[in-house]
Amino acid sequence: MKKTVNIATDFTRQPGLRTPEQTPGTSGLEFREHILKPILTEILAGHGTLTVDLSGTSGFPPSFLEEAFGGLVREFGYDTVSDVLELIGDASSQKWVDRAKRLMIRARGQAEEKRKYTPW
Amino acid sequence: MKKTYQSKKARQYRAARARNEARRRQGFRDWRRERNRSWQGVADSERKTLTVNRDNPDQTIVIPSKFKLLSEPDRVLGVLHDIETKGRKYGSVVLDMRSVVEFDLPAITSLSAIGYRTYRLYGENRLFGIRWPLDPDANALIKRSGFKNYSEGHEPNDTGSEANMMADRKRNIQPEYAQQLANIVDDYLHPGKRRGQNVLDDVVYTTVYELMKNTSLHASSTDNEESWWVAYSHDSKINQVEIVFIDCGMGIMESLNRKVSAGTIRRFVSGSNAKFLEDVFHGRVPSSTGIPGRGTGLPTLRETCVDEGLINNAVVVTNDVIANLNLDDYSLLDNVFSGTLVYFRVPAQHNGVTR
Repeated sequence: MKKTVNIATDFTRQPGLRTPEQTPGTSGLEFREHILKPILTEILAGHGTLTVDLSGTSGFPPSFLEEAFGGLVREFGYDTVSDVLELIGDASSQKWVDRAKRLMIRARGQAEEKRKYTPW
Repeated sequence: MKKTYQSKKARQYRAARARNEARRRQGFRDWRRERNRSWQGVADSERKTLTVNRDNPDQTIVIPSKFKLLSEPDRVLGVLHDIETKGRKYGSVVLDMRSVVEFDLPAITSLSAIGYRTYRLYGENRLFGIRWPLDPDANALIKRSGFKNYSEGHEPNDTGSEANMMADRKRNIQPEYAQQLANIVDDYLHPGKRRGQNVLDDVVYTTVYELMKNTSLHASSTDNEESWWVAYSHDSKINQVEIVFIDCGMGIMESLNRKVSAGTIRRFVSGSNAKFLEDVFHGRVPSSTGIPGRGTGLPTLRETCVDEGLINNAVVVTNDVIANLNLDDYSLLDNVFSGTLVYFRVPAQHNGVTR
């Protein structure tokens, strides 16, 4: 199964901030919970990949990218997510792809740190 | 019939009161005579500014000839500090800008922001009396900047893109405004070309959006949201747009100091405020909220500037620290800026690619 999500057409052309309280309807949390997570759960139950296209938007505040993709890493683990998730974008949005990948790596570090210091 | 007290004490009281009243009236007549003399030959508009200071030299603040925040931050912050203290004390001040020859966008925007806030807090009728620069170029530029509107205590209405410099005061998180600003910047940098697919226009949108969020969530010490200011100017010689974002809240250092984890790091690990701000921008300080994944805004601003090269010359002034992100230089200031100022330049090209 191969699924593709274009943020501009499937979610919003103007991505908001981290939580719905800050920017209702366009936040990274809503994008993760309502769009990414159901598809990812479905893919992980079987086989397949998820491609997220970041082109066509006004731009991505870092808190949106962190909550959407970093949050996914914290929930499912970096290896699991990076195996099935592919981020793409056109020339003008390549910088957002790079940034989202960096934030995912950073979230992996935080997840490992948390595991290391959790006694149970 | 009205009863009149004829005791000695009552007569003395009435006499003293009459004397004081006569003295006060005479003082007012003297002041009015002097004022009318000083007004002779002065235009009506100029007279209004002269009434602010009354005859108090303490209320006059002389602006230095080179009024540049980026090159002489301590001097500019000293002026801003004077405006706050004297504005608080007297309710109005006179800005003597006659000797001003050079100024930069951050300096004039911070003057507007601090002046406006001081006016709102302490001003009676108007905060500023202004003696405009004698230098014709500086005079024309400063009048075009929208600074005059704020000095008269009302919101600016001239935000047309015709102006070379524009300052705007807003509140809350406004993505539409960030988008509008991105469009204006795109129009300046690529006039006559189709909008939307530029490599850099969305960087303005996201950077300003993130700064608005920081102001909205962290700047205010009360429940009320701090207002923020944006000013931009197009440098046609090198085809770059410079943008200044200011909030007059508590500042990054003060905001982080209030959080237990960050405050502890500052005290025991980083030491000075300058080193601490460096740690914050390098992502070495965990989020002040303690929630995983938070605290990405400021490190990303540095990445946008230094690692990705999407914006140039980013400078951050907050509390007693000035940070030049490109040079990775973090220095302590003698004067304190109560708020956060972010300055950056948007180039027309990125890695040789225009669009």
